[in-house]
Amino acid sequence: MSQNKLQKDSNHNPRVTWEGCSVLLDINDGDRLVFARLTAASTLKIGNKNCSLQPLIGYPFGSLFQLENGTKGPCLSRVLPATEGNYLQEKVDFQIKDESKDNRALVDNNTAQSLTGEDIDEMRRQGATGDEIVEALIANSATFEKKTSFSQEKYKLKKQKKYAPRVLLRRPSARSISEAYFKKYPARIGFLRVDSLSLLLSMANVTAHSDVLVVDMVGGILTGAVAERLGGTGYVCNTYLGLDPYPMGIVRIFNFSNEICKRIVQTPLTDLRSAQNGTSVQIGSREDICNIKSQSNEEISSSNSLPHTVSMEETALSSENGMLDLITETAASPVIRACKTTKAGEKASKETINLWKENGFSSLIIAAPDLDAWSTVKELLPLLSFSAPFAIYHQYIQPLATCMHNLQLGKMAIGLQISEPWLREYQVLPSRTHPHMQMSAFGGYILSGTRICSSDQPQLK
Amino acid sequence: MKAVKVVPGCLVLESGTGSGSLTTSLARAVAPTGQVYTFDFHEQRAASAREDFERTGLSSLVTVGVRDVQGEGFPEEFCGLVDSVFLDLPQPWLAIPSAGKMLKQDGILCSFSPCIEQVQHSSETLRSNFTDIRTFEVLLRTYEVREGKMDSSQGDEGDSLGSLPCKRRQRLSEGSNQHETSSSPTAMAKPSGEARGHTGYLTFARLKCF
Repeated sequence: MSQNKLQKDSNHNPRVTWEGCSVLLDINDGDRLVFARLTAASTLKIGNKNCSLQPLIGYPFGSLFQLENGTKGPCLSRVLPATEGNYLQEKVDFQIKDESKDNRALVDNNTAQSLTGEDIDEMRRQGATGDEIVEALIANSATFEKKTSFSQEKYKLKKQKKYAPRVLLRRPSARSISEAYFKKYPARIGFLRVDSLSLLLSMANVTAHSDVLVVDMVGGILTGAVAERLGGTGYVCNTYLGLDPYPMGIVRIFNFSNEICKRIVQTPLTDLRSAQNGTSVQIGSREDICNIKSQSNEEISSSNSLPHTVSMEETALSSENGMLDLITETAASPVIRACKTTKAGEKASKETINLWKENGFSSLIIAAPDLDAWSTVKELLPLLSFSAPFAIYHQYIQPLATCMHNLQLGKMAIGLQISEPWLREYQVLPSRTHPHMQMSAFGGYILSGTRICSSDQPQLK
Repeated sequence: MKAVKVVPGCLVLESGTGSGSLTTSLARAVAPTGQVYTFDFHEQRAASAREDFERTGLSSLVTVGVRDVQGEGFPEEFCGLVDSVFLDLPQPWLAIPSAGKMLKQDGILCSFSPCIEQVQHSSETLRSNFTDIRTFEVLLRTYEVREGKMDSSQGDEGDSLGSLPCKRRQRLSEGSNQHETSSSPTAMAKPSGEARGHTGYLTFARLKCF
């Protein structure tokens, strides 16, 4: 087994955070998700406290931090999970003895807890840790002992989330980014669910050394996911039909290395088409495609900025019960500027474009909620090599049905299929296994197929 | 592949190999610099898979071993070096402790099981060293599309139907999303009648950081 190969991995795939990297902060086990950039100046608001994110720099992704009442105010300190193991074993033992308990005598009238808010504040002032406060609440609850162990567990977790909130440092990846966006800002990614995105990549056969043509009107999540899968080989050509490239700000959250960024190019359709076709086709792109050329900081309410700005924004996502935080960085530290030397989204070189014109792209993916599937595919299919697969995502089935039908009539493709991915998550706990109460009913439709050669197509190898 | 973040350069372990179909996907995901080591306790199946990978040109990326991972765990030489582990075994909980030793911190495990009892047992075992344990069911529903020639009627056709022809015409133009002249075909889609009810549950987990 090659050690050298593995060492190269750690440069490609750093497992430890660094100054200026993007991270996904998971607060209280999925209750709230925040994208952030780790710099000396960045902060995070939890509850009503602001704490610095600097302690998170230099730690492995996957590390857990807990909000503690430090001498200088609230701060995040690392929690090591060694202590978790013992606690879990106790839980299992409790459950077995538990079957006689039920809630017939429990009355929910807010009188069970004898500690007051002031008592808790006093404890905090005296430097009690979050865990100690939770223990005290349990000790002072009149009804705690009467609860079933499941109920006790739920209670303890609830108190812990409030008095000892935990922050999990997560690495942004196609999965974590798309899950986070789908949860809170699904419209920005065209309601493209995680499994739908995976399906697009599979159906379009995205693999190393591919030249993938994408129409990405979902904020860049598609471009990023393809680039991640290409891993620095091949190209992902993000094309646009009008005059202005579509925003792909989400690409910046991936922490891509220079090698990968070099492989992400944005090229207008007009440049990709052969000169001899004559008609310079401008598919009317809708007015609501944001035209953002230059700006520094962006408000979260408008769409993501183009990659050649140096703004650093943090997109805050939260559950319905959480708070919506907007944290925008104003200072651009020199370190971050250095990292931006190779920006994703440069234009493709003439040589590369000519190669594509000669050989065709190896696959095509379209995720464009505002464009008509058939008109778009009609223009782009000729750019693919023969036998190249394509996958088109849309929220509505009718445009895909029409597109599929027309492709069949025009003998432009085979193996056509419209699929709808279905995803259900389960809660798996002893004696408490069932599907989650909430479920995503819908992740869109995908039309997939393979391009074939037909007599009236321009000659591509 | 996306859920387990298998990307070029990764080192991935798998057991059992079975037909090698998942192995093939894994190999394509880690190409060109990664490696997949797959183990099956059935000698013939392992040999057959090895031949397949030769034929499909994947043998530089995939190594097939004959090993009873449930009984013996994964080979020691991989300890702490692995990015992802895939399990498709009848008793995956027996292999989970070994998988935990193989994975790098924050590495990902994925286990596929048809029965919910297996999932429950695996999840319990995972709790000691893994976090972010999630179980999903994934299915793909397909649609059929056919041309529907909805005749928008000529005025004299349905005298007996009285005012119905107008209503029918109205419904037609709602059904298609373009302005259509009469008797122009519409593509209509409906779900396929036959559907896969279940294949298995997918359980994902990440190795805790120590």
